Amino acid sequence: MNFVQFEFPIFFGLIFILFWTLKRRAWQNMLLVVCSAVFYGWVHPWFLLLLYGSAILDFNMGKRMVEDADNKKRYLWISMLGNVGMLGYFKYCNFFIDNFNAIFATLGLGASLQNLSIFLPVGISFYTFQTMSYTIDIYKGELKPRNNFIDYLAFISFFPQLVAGPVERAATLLPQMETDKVFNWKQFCSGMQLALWGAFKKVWIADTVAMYVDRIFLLEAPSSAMIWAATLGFTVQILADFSGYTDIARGTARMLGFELMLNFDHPYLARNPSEFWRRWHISFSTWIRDYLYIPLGGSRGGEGTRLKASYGAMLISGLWHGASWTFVLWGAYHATLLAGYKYIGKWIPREIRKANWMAPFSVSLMFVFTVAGWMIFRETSIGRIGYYLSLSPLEGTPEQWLAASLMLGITLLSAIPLIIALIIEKFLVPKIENKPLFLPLQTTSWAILLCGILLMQRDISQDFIYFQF
Amino acid sequence: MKSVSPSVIASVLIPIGILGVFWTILNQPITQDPTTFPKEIQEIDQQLANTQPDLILVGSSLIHKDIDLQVLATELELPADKVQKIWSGMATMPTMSMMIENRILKTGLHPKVVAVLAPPSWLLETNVLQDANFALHQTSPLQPLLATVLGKESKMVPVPWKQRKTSFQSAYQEWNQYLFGTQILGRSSTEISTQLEDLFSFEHQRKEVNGIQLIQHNIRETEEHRKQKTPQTTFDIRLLNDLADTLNSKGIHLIVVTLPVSDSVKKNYAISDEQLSEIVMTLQQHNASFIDLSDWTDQAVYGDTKHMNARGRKIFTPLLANKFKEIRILEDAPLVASVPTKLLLPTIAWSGKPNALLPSEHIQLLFPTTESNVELVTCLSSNKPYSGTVFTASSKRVGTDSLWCETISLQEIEANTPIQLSNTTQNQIYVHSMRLNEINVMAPSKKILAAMKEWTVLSKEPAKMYPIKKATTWPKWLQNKTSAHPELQLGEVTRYKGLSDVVLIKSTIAPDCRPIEVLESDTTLPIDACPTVWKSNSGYCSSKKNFIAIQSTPIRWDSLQISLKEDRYCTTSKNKRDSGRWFYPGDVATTTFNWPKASYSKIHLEGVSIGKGAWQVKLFDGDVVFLEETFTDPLELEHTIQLHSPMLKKYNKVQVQISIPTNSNGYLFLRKIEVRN
Repeated sequence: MNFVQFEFPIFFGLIFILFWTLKRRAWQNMLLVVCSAVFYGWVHPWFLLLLYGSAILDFNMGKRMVEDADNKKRYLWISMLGNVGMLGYFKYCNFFIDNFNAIFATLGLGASLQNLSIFLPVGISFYTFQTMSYTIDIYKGELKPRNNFIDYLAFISFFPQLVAGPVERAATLLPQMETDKVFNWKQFCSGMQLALWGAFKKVWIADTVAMYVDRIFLLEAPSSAMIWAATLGFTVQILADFSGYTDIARGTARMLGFELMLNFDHPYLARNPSEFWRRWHISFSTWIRDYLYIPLGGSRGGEGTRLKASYGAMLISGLWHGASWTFVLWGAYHATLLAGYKYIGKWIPREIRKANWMAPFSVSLMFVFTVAGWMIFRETSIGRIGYYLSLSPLEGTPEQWLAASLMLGITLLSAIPLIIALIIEKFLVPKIENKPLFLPLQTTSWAILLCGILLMQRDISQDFIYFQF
Repeated sequence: MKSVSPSVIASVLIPIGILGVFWTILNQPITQDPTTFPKEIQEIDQQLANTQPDLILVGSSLIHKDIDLQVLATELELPADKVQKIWSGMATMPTMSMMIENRILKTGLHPKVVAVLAPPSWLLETNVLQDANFALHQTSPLQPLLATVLGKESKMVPVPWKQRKTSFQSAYQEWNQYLFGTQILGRSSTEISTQLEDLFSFEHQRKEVNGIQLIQHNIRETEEHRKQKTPQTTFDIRLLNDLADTLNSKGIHLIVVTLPVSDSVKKNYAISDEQLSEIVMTLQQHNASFIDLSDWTDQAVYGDTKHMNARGRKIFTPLLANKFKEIRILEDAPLVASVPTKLLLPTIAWSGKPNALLPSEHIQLLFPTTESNVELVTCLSSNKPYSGTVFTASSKRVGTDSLWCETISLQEIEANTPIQLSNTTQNQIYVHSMRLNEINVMAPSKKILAAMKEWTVLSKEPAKMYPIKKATTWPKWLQNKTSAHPELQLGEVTRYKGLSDVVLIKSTIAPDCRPIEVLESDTTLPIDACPTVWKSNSGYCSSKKNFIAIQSTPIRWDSLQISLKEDRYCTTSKNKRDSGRWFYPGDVATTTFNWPKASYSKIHLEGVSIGKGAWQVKLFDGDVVFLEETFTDPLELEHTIQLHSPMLKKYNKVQVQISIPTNSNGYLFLRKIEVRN
């Protein structure tokens, strides 16, 4: 089920009423498990087998690690192999087959493996990472294994964040599943605000820009201006799309009394690559930092170790997004930005780097780098990326300039609500938050957002971009 | 009791008020006031109100885009107003059926013929897709049978708020284009739409990617959704049956035409042979006619995945007119629907090697249906000159001693009973092709293309300059333009009047591919296409004998000259398929083909002749000449010529030579040359 389909508000409304009517935590969690199954299995019920398979594996391995502490490493390996194996099979199998065939063809050997007919289960990258964090944390002694399978399953399959995150840690979400909830109006209002704003971003901004971006990236021979205008459009689209999803997830969870982690913190205001990753897809980047970058050596070793860890983590992070070399290239690009920043940063005094007057310059520069990265991310073929970069920036037919200008204009127009929201959030809300005027203003904004969503919601809505990962 | 604060009351009432007003506006009943209808439907209404057409075409936007009514009327020798069309976006069988009932039968129109034109699966779809007021106006009230079905599928019934939502979404998109295109860039909305449609047309899209990321917005899910849905054949056949019955009883002849769509769409929207047979049988029962054009597969004619571009319309309309004439639709007894050829195609088996027949070897044909009479056309070549027919059942022979086509007449064919066609000669015969009603029975061999960029020029006339004089008399239409364009200056070209914008555009040649250039002293002037010049109110263009200039400074007419461009090859960045090479009088040039993949019997040319005069084609490899022929009729978009002798696979240095005699007054623009079977 998609958050921006008409079924979802009805579905959520029913859950909301039932959830707060049930009152007993055990029943509430049972309700969440059942509803999450309906939500996830809406189109392809058999995907539930994988979700539950992964959950059962990690639940048992977690328990075994404590019961049989001498062999806990073995259980961790079983968990890792199970999850990574599942991810590898469903997500990367055909990618490996294609590359295997390509290598053998290059070597002049006739080996050719047939691609498998595999359908990628939605959200598999998210929930496998989430369940893995459970076993890793138990292995590290930072979490105790749970005995209540329903609470645990409610955490793994919690529907608001199941399909596209945030990638929650067991240590933060599981205790919330184990705590009694009390309905709180303020929490409800804030959740509603967030969910409506998220849906508005998706249908009004992301889907509108997507129509033009998709058409340009589908062309055989677009001009350079068109491609860069479309990439800028995609920059707005992916933020509105992904942060829109996260806002709906966080908003609906908050209405049920759960607090999911912040996933986006105005990423395009980042001043440098490190800060970008502290602001973009935070739940995933911190997962990569804690479970990959640090175990690979992180910043503890010398320059070489740090570089290796950084590249290793970013390449895997790129590949996590999809079975394609363009995502690997995107990971490498960001690893290079991080390494470049570390290296150049050494030569610039800290007071200059942190100076306020530098902010517009560094934010703009980082934004340009981010946009360039999104071109690699959006394109599906490395050859095409090379082709785009080889195009002369000033060449183009009048029609191509027209299309590029329209794309640019629509991008700017679509970005206006994001800028207004930023101003309201930063300057207006803190001033009126505790005044009587706040509530009417808030509910008025709900009505306006709802009108906007109803107007722009399409019968066949485009999937959220991160659903494919 | 604790009193409720005004803030809480306001926080409940204000949003309820906003949502209430919003919903009321959104859900107001859709008016049936004709003045509020989209301009396309007002045009249809107007045209239908003032005429009593003989032929009415009914269909979706495909007929709007694919068929030029004026050309169709001319081809059918009817006055222009005697051919009309009623169309509605995405119209499928239920919508078309309602359009006929509400917009033809109930309005007192009594055409001789109603033609339903749609891709095959559209005829079997139950969707009533509402394109806002457009379809509603034409499909309301519902037909009783349809209402019964829609009662069960209530979500298909038009709902005001859904229609307003769709309208708002389109309007928002148009507003974006208006804001940035018209307000900022100063382009008209029509111009923007045309240019974008051209830029994003289907043939410009990448074909190698199937991933989610590059599939157009919403298309993927729509296609998947349609693929999953099984057409409710029974219901739609009932609709077709009712329609054919009603029209028959009123003395109106019904003809159903299946339209072609691009390959990618066809793949997803195919119908089974059984379903096609069912349509044909239904039509037969009511003496209705049927034309199957769904297999017409020229991929260069599509502007997007379904609709044709200008070139497609230009080729397809006469083709449709010819088919109409063949079945005599405007006469008293038009031909009744017969089973489409593709359902009659026999399977073919060779007693020896495929495509080759040694003496007494044979081909075995197995027809799927029983037929009383079938005519096959086969093109053959022989290793020794031969002037008779190869097969005993052959009745006609056209061609030379070494390459010819025979017509094989087969009678009283039993379904699934083998028929043998034996080589009755003492020669080795090569079978190039075998067709049943223009459809290949044999798998077609791969075509090979001539290199259009690299030509060896054997002879050409030196370019000559001709003056452009200041015009002494102004045509009235240009005089009228002076108020809007005060800086307009007019010249008269002394040569190459036939190579102006007007003629080229009519011949579907892109403005970028003009063969003429205008020089001021030694500088080439940018002669943009006339519409651009009128729009931008500056620049130069040519329109038949007129050279039009819009500039503030006076033109020095004595320094202006017109000439043919030296570079004959023209490539348009906008559309690769528009690229091609010009041949001027006096030109003789040759080019080569890529490696042959079979033995060939035909050469196919795509392009246009401008002006009158002879042109020559020669196909040869060294001293071996496969074809040498002079044509005096102009080339109109495409022409297939049978070779004089077969171009066997062993000839791998074949060249084609195109020449235009010096005394000819014809110019030839060739886009593609290929050899095929």
